[in-house]
Amino acid sequence: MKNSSVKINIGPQHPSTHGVLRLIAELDGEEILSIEPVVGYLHRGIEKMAESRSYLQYLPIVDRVDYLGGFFTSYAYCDAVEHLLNLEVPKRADYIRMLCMELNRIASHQLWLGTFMLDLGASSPLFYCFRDREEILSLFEELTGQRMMYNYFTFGGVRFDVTNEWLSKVSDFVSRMPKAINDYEKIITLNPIFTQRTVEKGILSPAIALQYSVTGPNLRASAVELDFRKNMPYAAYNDVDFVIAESNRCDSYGRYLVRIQEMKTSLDIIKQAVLYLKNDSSDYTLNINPVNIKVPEGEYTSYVESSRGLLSCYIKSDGSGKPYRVKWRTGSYYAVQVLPEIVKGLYYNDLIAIFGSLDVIMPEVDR
Amino acid sequence: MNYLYFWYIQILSKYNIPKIFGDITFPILPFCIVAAAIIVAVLFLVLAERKILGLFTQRKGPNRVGIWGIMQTVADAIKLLCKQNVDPRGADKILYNVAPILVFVPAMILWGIIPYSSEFVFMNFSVSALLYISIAALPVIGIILAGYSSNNKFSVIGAIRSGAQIICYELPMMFVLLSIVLISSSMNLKDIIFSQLGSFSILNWHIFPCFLGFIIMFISILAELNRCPFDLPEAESELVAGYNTEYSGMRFALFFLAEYATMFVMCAFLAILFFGGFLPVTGKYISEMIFSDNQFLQLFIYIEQVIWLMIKTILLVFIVMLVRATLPRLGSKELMKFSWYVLLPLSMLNFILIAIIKFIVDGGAI
Amino acid sequence: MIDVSILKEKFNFNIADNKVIVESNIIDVLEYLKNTPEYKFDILTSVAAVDLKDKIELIYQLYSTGNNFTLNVSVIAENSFAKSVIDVYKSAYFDECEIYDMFGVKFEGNTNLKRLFMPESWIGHPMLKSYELKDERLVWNEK
Repeated sequence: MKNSSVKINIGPQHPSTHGVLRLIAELDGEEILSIEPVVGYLHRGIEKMAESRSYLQYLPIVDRVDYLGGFFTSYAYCDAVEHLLNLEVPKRADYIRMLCMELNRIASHQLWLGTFMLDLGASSPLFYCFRDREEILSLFEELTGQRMMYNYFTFGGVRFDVTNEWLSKVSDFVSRMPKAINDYEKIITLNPIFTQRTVEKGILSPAIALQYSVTGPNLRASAVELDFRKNMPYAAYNDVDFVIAESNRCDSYGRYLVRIQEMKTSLDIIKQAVLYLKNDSSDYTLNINPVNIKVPEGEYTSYVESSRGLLSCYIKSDGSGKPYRVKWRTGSYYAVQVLPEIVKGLYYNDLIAIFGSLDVIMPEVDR
Repeated sequence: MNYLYFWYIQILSKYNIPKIFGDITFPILPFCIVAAAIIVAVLFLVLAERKILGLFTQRKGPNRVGIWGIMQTVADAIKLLCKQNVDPRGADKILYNVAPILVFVPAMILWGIIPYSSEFVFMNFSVSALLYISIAALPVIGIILAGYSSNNKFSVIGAIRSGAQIICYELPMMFVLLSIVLISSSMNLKDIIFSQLGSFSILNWHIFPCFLGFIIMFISILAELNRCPFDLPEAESELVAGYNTEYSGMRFALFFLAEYATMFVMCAFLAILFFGGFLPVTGKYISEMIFSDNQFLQLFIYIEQVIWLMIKTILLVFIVMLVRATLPRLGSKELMKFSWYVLLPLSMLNFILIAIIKFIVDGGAI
Repeated sequence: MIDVSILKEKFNFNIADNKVIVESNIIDVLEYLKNTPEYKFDILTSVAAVDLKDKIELIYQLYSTGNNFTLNVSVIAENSFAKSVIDVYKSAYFDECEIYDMFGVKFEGNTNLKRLFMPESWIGHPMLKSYELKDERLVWNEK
């Protein structure tokens, strides 16, 4: 036998493909010769749905694009529609939206951390992360009535105002959270097995990252300082102070460090947002009637920094009550593409670890 | 064992049954005891593990079946017994069926070698420590067969990993055992225990001269048990379930039973080698203190010895579970490196150190 | 914003609606935009296809990390044929597969073009405006 390679089919039903990704891997022993991602098992036709629904009818659906970051997709869609309608969103609504998005970012990173550690074989961090994520979800439930598909942002503002009581619950949470993050770091950051499995593994050089259009924490871990919250500020990000988390390690460990740092950054932003909202009592919505709105002809692309990279929503309107075309650009879509490039020559269990470190979730890829 | 044997023969002679019949049927008794002990221990261990992991991760663990979830594992066992045995297409039928037995039988034999108390030893050989180590390496044959015969690539990878792992970690383990044998001048497990009996009570345990050896042995045993952080052969997130991916029902239950049975007995082995086995921590048997002149004193001491061994074993099992709750899994490359570059040289060093200490303590006599 | 007047002379662009409309070779344009230091559009954030009923418009959305601006480059796919840009931006591979899958645009130069989301056996290209669902249970939303 000259050719000793084995083709192995990972997924779509596999414990660590985070949904329904299928990877066709060619292995020589445990060494990876090549892998080919196959996507499409979670395709729901979200872009096609837009064309047969009114702008308002489509609003609840956009939460499903990324079910771990419903607020990001909601915001991207609302932002694009508002621009096409020439609406100026009230400051308070912007702050509320920013607060929600940052809480959502923390929740999303927590879930990532838990499942990433599960991929590496450690089960405890998953439960720590879910314990704290539960608090965020309870906050969301209290505010929006939902734990996952919030449908909270609307054209020209948000659906309900935040109460001072809710805000103090948020600041309670913010004060508890640094200790929880410290807990994660204690069990993970300097763990010799964890560092062995992540340091110098899955090196994503800046050139390759840009070439493959990888964005978000993955790109920032590759020494490229690109954060759309800073570069093209939207919502109220212009008014708050925060530092972009960045690492020049380019490996899985760097991606871990960036996301941990990002949770802390989000806490800073939330603190400032809560402070603003407590001292402000202006309107939280423009109170426009969203039913049967007619959007003037034109096209617009909104850029949002989601927890998994650049999220952009391109809307083309033909002047009718339904969008002519909606195109979603998501971070995971490109992170899946770069995977074959960075795992070549590594071992099979590194593949799982590196894939985990990229934070890919499938609904975003397939849409 | 003699105690039990005479007791058994006495009972038989009461009913005028010939002694030869007793000699033949006597081995059935220890077999039944071991089988019952394994079942009870595994039921206890599985529940304990789930409860302890729950404790570490701030959950409740099983708490629905019975009080405190006590019947949970029983319910699981019944479920496994009732499940259909699935034969995957293209599987090698004979090997596929034999593999779980090959994994389970060595685990059972190991239980027979352990000296539970000074009289309660089922198989007392002069080289029982060596026998123990060699039988402990046997399940890997079953694991490799299971992976090979399942007609599943994940299983094959799991099996290959298991084979590589055993080779890597058997060597350091042997070196540590060798240094223990050197200290106690015996390969009999009971003699190894008695060699830890001395005027300094706890300080006579082999853990003190051989602490490095204990660490190496503990790590190697984790690897041999396929426990976290060495659970590569059944790495859930990578290989679905590794070598037992295709197994279901009772065949899977055998793998499961064997895993926990071996875990318990391996911890008992560690307790014997390093923590004085059934010797009391208190220096003097508690029953000796309480019933100083009782006709059943000897019997009480035997029972107490079993209890001491169990306490030490359970503490070690707890540490094994604690490790599982804390650490992620090693990579397969790191696993090899760790064994060949770290553990093996260290275990050799440990052996040489022990030899030097022994040489000095014995006053230069070889 | 970005000054595209030089580009206009060089490639004969029409500029409308915050995007440049390219008629000549799209690969040359993108290569120029990527490699010229004053633009340096190093990320192709996405490729959006729009079915304009009689033709299909491809919108290449570029972003420059150094200069921090975006640019939409639009090109018309004639007769459902377009030039592949994977030699310039590797990230376009999935996008092109998706557009082939959803709009039926064939990309010249993309040797491994396949359906990305739909099964290989799927008939038709679902995102086209002319695409009809044959099963009437699925068209409940259209009255």
